[in-house]
Amino acid sequence: MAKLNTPRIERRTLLRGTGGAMALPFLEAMLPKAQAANQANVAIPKRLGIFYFGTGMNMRELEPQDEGRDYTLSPTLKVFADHKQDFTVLSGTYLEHGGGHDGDYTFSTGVKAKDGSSINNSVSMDQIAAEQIGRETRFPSLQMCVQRGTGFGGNLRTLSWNRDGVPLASENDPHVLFNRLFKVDGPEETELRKKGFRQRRSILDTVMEEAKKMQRNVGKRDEVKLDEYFSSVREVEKQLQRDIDWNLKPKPKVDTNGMGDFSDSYTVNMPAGQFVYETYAKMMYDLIALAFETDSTRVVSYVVRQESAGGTFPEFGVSKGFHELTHHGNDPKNLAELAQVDRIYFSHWNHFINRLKSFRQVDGSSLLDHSLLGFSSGMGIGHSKDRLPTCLFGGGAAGVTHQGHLRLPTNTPLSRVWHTMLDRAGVQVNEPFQDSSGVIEPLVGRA
Amino acid sequence: MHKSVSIRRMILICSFVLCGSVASRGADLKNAAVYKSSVRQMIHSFCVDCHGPDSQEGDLRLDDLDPAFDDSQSAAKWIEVMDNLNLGEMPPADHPQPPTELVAEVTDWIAAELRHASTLAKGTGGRVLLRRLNRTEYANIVRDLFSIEFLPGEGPRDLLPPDGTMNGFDTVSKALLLDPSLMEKYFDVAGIVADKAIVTGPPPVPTRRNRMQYEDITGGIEYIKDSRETIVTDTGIITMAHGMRSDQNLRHPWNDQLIPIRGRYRLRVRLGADPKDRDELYIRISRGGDGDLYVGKVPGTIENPEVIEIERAFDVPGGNEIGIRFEDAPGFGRVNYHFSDLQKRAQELTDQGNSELAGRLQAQMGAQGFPNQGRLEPDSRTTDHLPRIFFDWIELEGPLYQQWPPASTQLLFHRGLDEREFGESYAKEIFEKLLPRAYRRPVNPEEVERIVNVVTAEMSHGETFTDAVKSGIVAMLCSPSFLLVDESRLADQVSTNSDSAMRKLNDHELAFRLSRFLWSSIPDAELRQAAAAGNLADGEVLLQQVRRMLHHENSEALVDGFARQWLKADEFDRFAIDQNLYRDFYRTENAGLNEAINEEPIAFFRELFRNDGDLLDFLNCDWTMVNEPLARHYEIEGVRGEDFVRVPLPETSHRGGLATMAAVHKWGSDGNRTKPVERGKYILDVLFNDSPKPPPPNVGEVEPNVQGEMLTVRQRLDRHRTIAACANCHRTIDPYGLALENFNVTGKWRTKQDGERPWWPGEAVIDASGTLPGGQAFSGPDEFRILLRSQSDRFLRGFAEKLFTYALGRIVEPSDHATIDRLVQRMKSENHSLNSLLEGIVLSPAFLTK
Repeated sequence: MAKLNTPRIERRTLLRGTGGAMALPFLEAMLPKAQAANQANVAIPKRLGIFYFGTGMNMRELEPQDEGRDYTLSPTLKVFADHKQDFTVLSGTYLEHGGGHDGDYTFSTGVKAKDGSSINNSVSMDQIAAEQIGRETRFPSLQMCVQRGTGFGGNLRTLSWNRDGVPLASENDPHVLFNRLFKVDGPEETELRKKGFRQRRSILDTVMEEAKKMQRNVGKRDEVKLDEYFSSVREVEKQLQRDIDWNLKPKPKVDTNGMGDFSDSYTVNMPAGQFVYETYAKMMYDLIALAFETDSTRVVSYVVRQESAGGTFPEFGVSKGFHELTHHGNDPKNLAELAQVDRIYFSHWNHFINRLKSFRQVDGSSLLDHSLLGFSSGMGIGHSKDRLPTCLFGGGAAGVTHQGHLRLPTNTPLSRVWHTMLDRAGVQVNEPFQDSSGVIEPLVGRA
Repeated sequence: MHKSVSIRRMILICSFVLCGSVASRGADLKNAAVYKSSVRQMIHSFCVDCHGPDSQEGDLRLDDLDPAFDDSQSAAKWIEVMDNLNLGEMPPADHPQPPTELVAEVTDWIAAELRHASTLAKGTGGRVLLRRLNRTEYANIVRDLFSIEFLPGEGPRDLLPPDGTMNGFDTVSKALLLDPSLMEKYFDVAGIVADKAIVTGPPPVPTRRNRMQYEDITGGIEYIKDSRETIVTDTGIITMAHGMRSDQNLRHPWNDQLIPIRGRYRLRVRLGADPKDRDELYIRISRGGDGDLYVGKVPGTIENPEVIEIERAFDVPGGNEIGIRFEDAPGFGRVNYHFSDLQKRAQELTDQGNSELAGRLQAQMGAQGFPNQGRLEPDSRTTDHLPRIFFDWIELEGPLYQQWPPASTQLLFHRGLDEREFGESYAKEIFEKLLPRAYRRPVNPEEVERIVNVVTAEMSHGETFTDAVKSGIVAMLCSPSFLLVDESRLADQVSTNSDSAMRKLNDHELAFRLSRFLWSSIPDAELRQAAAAGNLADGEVLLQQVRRMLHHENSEALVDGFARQWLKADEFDRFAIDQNLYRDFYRTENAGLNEAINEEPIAFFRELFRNDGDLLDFLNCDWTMVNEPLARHYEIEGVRGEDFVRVPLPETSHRGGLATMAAVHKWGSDGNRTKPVERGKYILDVLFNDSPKPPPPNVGEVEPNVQGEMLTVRQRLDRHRTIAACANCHRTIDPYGLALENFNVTGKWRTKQDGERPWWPGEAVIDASGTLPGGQAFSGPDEFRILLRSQSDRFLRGFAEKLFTYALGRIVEPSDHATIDRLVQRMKSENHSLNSLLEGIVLSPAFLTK
């Protein structure tokens, strides 16, 4: 026994030595008290979020007619009247590999990730941000979607891809997300968690040993797949280490007054009649606001509406599924219902913006001013790859100069919007970044 | 020979025209000859003025564009060329236009080269690569390894994320990624499996059967007895409206809940119908929160009631009552047969396009004071003529346990659960038995020890023996030897990193490849024995095993795994059928029709598979598989019940083969109207493994009729096809879809246009004639089916390629050409049976080597 354990301890010590030691000073700085004491001289962190509304929108009702800061809100955008100074409508954005129903695969990465049935993606913009601004928070990034998982191969349930082009799974249940973010364990749970940590560590060691044995016999072509196994186990190990470190730190207390009930599971998979999408949407948006406000995470990706699938709910009062509506065939009824659905989704978004504005920061600004939020879709109208419904919200304190309705040159890559957001969030990117030719200058105060 | 000549020519050309680096690129071209002649001719005659050395409009220069399709930059430019030619946008209208044949040749060449480059990129050099188990295999293996069944929503199949696919199948190594979130899931699922497999102590809730006899009801729902709508008899209650419920007597005394604990339950209702002037009566059985448990006919009569039995998983949250609704019940006291006759007649007339008479009838209804349903009707003063349902009793039994403790626990703990046995040596025995099955090969003592160490470590932390064994099982299920399909271990255990030589699989690897292919699971005892005997690779022994395994119930995995993916069964519901345009589809008596439509192709495949039938029947035949709802949809008489049966197709049905199945028609429709191009794509991809190239971007779809126009889908599509550039591609796709225009969105036969709008004028008749790309003309689906079957070689080849891909988990490469040839020959000599192909694949060198 003792003999078998020896190599284990060595490796583990090393891991603890590096991961733990590096992380702790950051952790210390993150304690609420420490933060409070340093209020004056600690810069308020910047947050970043990307949001996906699958299967496009009715751009005929969304795109404003005139341009500039003083533009006239289109019928669909009217719901944002209170926030006109806090966002920019970006016309002319484009996904080279979007349109059809594969736009979700290229949305945050800019590459042609899906070619027929073969999928090779690259790192997504939010994960580049997470690497740099997400290290100091309990969660480097959060993935959210109306359905749980990655949806890999079909309609995606995530926008986040790591450096290896691996999709990161989303959570869809506000109850689960809330517990992960804010629930404080009782003594029994803490004990269980410790036991879980111990078991998992012992199992990870065992399977890693096994994999190393296997590696000796594997040919070069096969090694690629075995490497996937190795890097996955290592990533789980790292996550375990993070969990153990963070487990010692208290979770932030939050006030959920005026928000939904997070004490029970609430998902779209509940029996019909029990689920009201509006309630759900607001809970999900409120959670993002709480996670940002408590600095539990600084990076969020959220598939609000999946590509092709779902998208309408009985309470919307429309006659068809969203995908069916987007095949509008120029039928006025379909187009009117499409715009109606767009307005419903935007009313939830409006709730989100209001919530972010309600969180005052120490310097008198609002949480929205420190948040860079970009939403768009994998297609425009009629399954096109241009005319995407793109908006950038917030970021006033991060140096975003909003331009009202900004008409970009035809076929401006969507990656330029991401590029601008990363730039304002203080994230360094390697140039060229995706297929972007640079930040959108008017938005950063250069014209 | 041919290749080397063309390469030499290429180099020659290149040295004239292009730089040297292109020569090596050119060597990868599939058809360099076309490049050399037509493509260069096109560029030099029609493109260089604007996209040449002197001018590069749109930053595009074509005269020096590399034919390097493996380079994404060059490939993107070629795609632009192809799209613009296809769209007819280039050359601009005021410039000289290339002949249509040249455009076709160049665009076809670009598409073919793109496909070729993609095949090379996806290829594995003809080798089977290491891969992880897919979700189906994981679930089946766990089932067979531990003898456990999971409740819906609880097992690996529901908890693991769906797998990626390549070339349509989830067995292909390159599509089966392993990422940290999946690894995390593997840990969680392994824990759930271990908890399910090892259960000690008495069952938490005892099984109990509660029955309510309707004539005896008291308390909560006794009011039903007094209603004018019900008649209490000696043995039950007859109702003429609404339905029936359960009451507190059905609840489990353990906690006074209908469902005391999550588990499997059996619900039974005994009832009978007297439909009076109706054909059938329908009910809907439901429980709040669970949705519908049963929607369908009332079996039996009042004199001879019959039992409906529903066995399924229930969860605790949800209603404490079972509700049974009498569907389309005579809203008691509001029946108005005169009104409903008029309304029915008006609807029929509308369907037939006779809107004038329909309108007159509607006006008549208004004038008579029946603006809508729901007037009090003196009709119900007497009730003799009203349809009615007799309820005898309702019964709920559960939670059901197959045995206790579960079989899995008894199998794992072969020396029982006596605490005196617990300890390291027992753990060693347990995993010595389990590991070889889980890892699909003999294991060495070191491997057993590693797992046993996990168990003893847990025990030293104070865990019970059974809990510690669970941790060992989790370690086993997360180990690479379990999760990865590892054929890299050499028989002689000599370490090598060489990829060069293909080698024969050893018997254990072969046994698992076989069980994976035919069962999506691990070998059973008999196959393990054959592998241990060391002569599995012997052709006779192998064939004998294959035949045995195909008769085993586990071979249903070929239907669930291969057939469903091949037929795109998971996409049959990608568009919902419009509820307003196709109201009939949603009528109560069509409950279950959509499911039946989706099931037909699968049932057809199973029938061919189980009876060694002729696969060419997929192209055309005189039979199909239906159940009662589907038979009614197809207007076939005499089929009763939910089970699928084989029926002969009458001449008049116009059906036979996959192309005429409603599932395909539904797939190739958007819920409102048919999409002939999509239907064509389906036929070409599924039946011939020859999917057409994707359309140029932003081409849009067939537009709806503009104001006042009444053009059929076909007429509108024809407009698009008159554009020469479009016609080029569409002529190879559309006939395969237009031939099916007689089948509407729901797969129902039609001779007149329907869909999109409430009615169509008399002249909007369906034209389903056409000419196949090879020149054979047909007048409609009947002749079309014959032409399909005449392309049997093309079908057999495509089908063999698909099953080969599924079996080996890699795509078909040019080097497999001879193998596919032999498989097709084998099928031809054995009446095109699926079994001949399955056997042929197993016996092929590709299957036997790594």
